[in-house]
Amino acid sequence: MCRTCGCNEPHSHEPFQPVATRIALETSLLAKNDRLAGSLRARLARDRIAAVNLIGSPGAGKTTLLEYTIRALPDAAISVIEGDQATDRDAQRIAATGARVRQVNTDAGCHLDASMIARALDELAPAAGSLLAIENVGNLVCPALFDLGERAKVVVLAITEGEDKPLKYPHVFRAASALVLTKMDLAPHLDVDPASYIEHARRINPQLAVFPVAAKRGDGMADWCGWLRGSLT
Amino acid sequence: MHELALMSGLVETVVEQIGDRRVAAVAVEIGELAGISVDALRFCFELCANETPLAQAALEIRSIAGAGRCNSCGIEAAMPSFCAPCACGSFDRAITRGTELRLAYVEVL
Repeated sequence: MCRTCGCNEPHSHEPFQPVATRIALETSLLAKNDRLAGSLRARLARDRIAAVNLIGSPGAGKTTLLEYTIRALPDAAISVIEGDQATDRDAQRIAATGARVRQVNTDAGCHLDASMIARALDELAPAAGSLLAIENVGNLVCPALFDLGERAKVVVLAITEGEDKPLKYPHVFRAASALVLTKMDLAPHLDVDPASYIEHARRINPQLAVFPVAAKRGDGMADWCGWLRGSLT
Repeated sequence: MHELALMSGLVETVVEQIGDRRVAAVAVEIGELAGISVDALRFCFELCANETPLAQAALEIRSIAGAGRCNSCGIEAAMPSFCAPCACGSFDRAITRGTELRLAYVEVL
């Protein structure tokens, strides 16, 4: 008996070759996030809320910059979404300034995505006409790719991180509208040339607005806050 | 590891579109300036495809070379990295190609 078809005639069969059908999908790998970010952007625009997405390494000074920015711009009613893998430590620091804040913990996740912002925004309910600061998970790589519905991405880079970082992590510098160069009060103690940080960042993105600041001492904060207010409201 | 999020989204999208038909191949187009590690993408695809209709699928990756138009002299030319200057010396270039992150097609059985 033939083992392939079970008939009584012994004979050979061509090996079975399933024919694959090609189906064109032609969609962006980021389509789902981009769609959601688009509806977030529309929702924020309707409520006249300007969102800024702060991206930088762990320890770059993102939270400290926010603490001092919130105090410097009391009438902007800044509210904050804090992204970290774990803990609500940053949310506690922001809450101590009196600002409204929601902490998002991503666990294993290395970046915030639009669905996380949509959920946090429901709880946070920022006032119409206010500024929303989103502090992304400390990471110079992954957050560059994910649109959160923000009006601008801002890179936060500390002077202690080294002048080669814009060249080594170009994507985020390309995606950003502004660079805040933090901890400038430490520059005299380091063997660095602050101008080279700016030169490298502008080589990646010639349109980048740059704000060197020492948040705790107040240096440069007026320019940064002016940009934030001017270009976001 | 944003590649993990991308591949998990890809598997989800494909299953949404074609249901539980077995997938033989998935083709994606990845620009040279898209900020994607192709090795990480392959690794994450295997993880995400496991126990789905894509489990046996081959991942075909077509790389798209970067190109940019110079805002100083107007010439469009190859741009293998964000800080690759134009032949005229300017770094001020608008990217015209190379940021693609596209799911092109699937082959189903």
